[in-house]
Amino acid sequence: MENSTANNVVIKIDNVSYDYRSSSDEFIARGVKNVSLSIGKGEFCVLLGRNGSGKSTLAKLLNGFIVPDSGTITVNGIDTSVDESIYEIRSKVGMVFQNPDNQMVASIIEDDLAFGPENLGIPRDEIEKRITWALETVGMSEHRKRSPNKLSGGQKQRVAIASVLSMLPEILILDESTAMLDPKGRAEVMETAMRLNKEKGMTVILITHYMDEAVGADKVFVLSEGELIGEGTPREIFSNVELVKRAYLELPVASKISLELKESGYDIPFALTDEELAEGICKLK
Amino acid sequence: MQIKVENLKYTYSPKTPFEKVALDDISFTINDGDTIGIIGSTGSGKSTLCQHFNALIRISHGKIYVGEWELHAKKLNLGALRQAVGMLFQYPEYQLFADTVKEDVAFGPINFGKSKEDADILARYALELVGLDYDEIKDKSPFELSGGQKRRTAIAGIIASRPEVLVLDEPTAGLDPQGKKEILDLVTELKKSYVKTVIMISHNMDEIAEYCNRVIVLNDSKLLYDTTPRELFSDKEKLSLTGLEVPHAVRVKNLLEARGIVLQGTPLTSKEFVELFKGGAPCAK
Amino acid sequence: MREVSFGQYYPSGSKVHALDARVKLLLTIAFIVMVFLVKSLYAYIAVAAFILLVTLVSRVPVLKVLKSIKAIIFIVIIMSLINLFANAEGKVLWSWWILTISEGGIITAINLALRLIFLVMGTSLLTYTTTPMELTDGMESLMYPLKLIKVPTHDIAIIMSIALRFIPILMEEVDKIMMAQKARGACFDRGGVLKRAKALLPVLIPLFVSAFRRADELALALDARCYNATPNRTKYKQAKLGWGDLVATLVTGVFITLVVAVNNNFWGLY
Repeated sequence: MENSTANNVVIKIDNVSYDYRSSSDEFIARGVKNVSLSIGKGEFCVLLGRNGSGKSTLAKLLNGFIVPDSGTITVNGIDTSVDESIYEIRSKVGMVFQNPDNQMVASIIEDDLAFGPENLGIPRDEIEKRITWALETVGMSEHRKRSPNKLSGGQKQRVAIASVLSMLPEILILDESTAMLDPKGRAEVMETAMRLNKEKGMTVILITHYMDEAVGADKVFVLSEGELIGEGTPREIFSNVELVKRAYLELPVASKISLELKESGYDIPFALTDEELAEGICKLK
Repeated sequence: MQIKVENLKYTYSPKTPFEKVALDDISFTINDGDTIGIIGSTGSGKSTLCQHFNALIRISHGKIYVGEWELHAKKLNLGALRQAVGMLFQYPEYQLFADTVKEDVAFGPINFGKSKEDADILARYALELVGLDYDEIKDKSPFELSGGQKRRTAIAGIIASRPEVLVLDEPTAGLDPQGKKEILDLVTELKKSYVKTVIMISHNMDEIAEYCNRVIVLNDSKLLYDTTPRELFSDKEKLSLTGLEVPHAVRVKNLLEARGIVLQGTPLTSKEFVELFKGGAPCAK
Repeated sequence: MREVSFGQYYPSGSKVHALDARVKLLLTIAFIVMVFLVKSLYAYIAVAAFILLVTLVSRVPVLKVLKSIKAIIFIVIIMSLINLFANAEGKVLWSWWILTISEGGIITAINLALRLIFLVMGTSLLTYTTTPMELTDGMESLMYPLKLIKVPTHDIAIIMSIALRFIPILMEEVDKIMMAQKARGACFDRGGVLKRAKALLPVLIPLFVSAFRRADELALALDARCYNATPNRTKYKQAKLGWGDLVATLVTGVFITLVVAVNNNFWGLY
């Protein structure tokens, strides 16, 4: 089904290319090439692709850390290559990174949450409100006065999300934020991201290697060697065996089983999740 | 080489307010040829247990026999032991240090008393075994390699010493699906060489189910189960105690059971699931 | 995991914790200066009593404060020994070969040991009761005059705060890397000084690489959270001087006066 949010585009990437170059302008590596895509308000998007496929480059482009060699990126209609609006973009596009330890500045959690708003010159009372709200949103209120060092990986990442939320972003980018976590931590972060999306209408862009994190997305983008080679719902993407192979993705186990059963002559629909597969098998005669 | 653990106990910071029991009365035996998975939630003592096998942690209570060695003995030839029991830490690429790949891989053998020439031969063999092109890579700096190559180099650095036992602490953490598969296939390959026994810590139950012939489940510092993956994952009650996930294939089987379709046996992988399904046919209601 | 007990913030919500960090910093400095001025036994007793009093009010376990000495005990012993033999004033008590212990030596050794111990206890009380963020903010605020001559005091404060945060993380990392290299047969406790220093390279290089990687990621994270977005940065925790600060300053002031008086034998006690 076509998404009806087309008129509510928050991110528009128009034919963007970017190469990594040394300070003497020598070519080092390709970042992305001729990428065009748009993301609607409130969408949960997942970026898939093997290491070095350009996912993180795209994230950095969205936040204005780097500007396109060619093409344009607009966030809420603001061009990321315009220097004056860079902080406006960064406060609207919250970014959480892979290693939770390397993105916290303060030794006390509430101080870390205050960092972003302080940088933006938000008044004290307002910061106070935001901290309370953000910690509540990620379910970490009782840790407010504690040090992040003793937390589990999942808890640390939730604090990292809260520290970004305190800037009141409209878009949340999770750049492999689940990669270093154990299954419990991953579930915590995913649950938090899903909830922000469903309840607060936050646009979420998730970069991940875990295919099961993509099955619940509204939209999946597949990158390979810097190019966008696939775009669609998780079902469209994973049922495209050719695409999955080309991008070195992995099929969710349920999809694998449903495809193999189908090949063996069972009349079973393509399944994305274990539940769907079980349903499909139940309906077999 | 058999590894026998008897009543092993370990406490961090004993007799301080930070005292924490990490291992509580653990006993089990690992046989020659085993690929044994050590599972349990974060903080259950998996890494602490494994660091005992090559005496990185000295035994404070209990006994461990590794082949001829008695790890609880006062005098212990650490060099010979650590040569025989290779250990790959989490994110092993972060321990690379030398100017060239060759030197880094030869570091172990040289420490264990090999001449430079012999160490170079061992390094060459190890690099080829992990699937890297020796001539192409030997003089490169380990820091300029890609993520996957770095991890392989780190693995080569361990197996260059020709260990009989290989301990792997989350060997696939942080890799993309393709990288994960390559590393796991490599482990299977290694078992055809001089590596006889593999001990692997993992949070990924699909990996454990597919690659291990036995599992040790740690829970809250105690050994909860010592069994085969099939036994473990067949027993829903056992699993619910640990809070561990199950492999997807098992999950689908359980979902089917809840819907009244009983499969004869427990499939551990998608392949097994399809075969079981085709062979036994669903034994409905 | 390595235990970093020296100077780790210990939250207990006491009156001392609630004091303004700037006041605590200044008082600690005054305390240190005083400790280095006194030399009479009675004055030392008074100092010890004062530390005990502050510890009790701060509700930091006394044992924890005592433990902070552990970190420097080695330095204390060596420094005292040097002083013990270096000072040959007064009556000679014992002498062998070139080593001489005299009354003067014993007194300077004890003086030095006590001063160092009080110094560490005092400063660790400061760090036990003040979060690193408060400390750095306090320092930034005290450095305010420097800002007028264009010293980037805020950046300095952030750097200090980050440094404090990463010390335990990097220490843990050192442990991890050492273990990993030991697993590859590295040995850190054998051979002469040169050999040992060389053996540390496989630890130091990965540590530096990792520190740089962390710094890179951190820089990105700082940028992502709009670091330097506006010169009109606000402060979430605005230190406000309260009655407690006045009381603490008065108490410490009175105490320092007392100690100096005792030290100079103002009342002819000895």
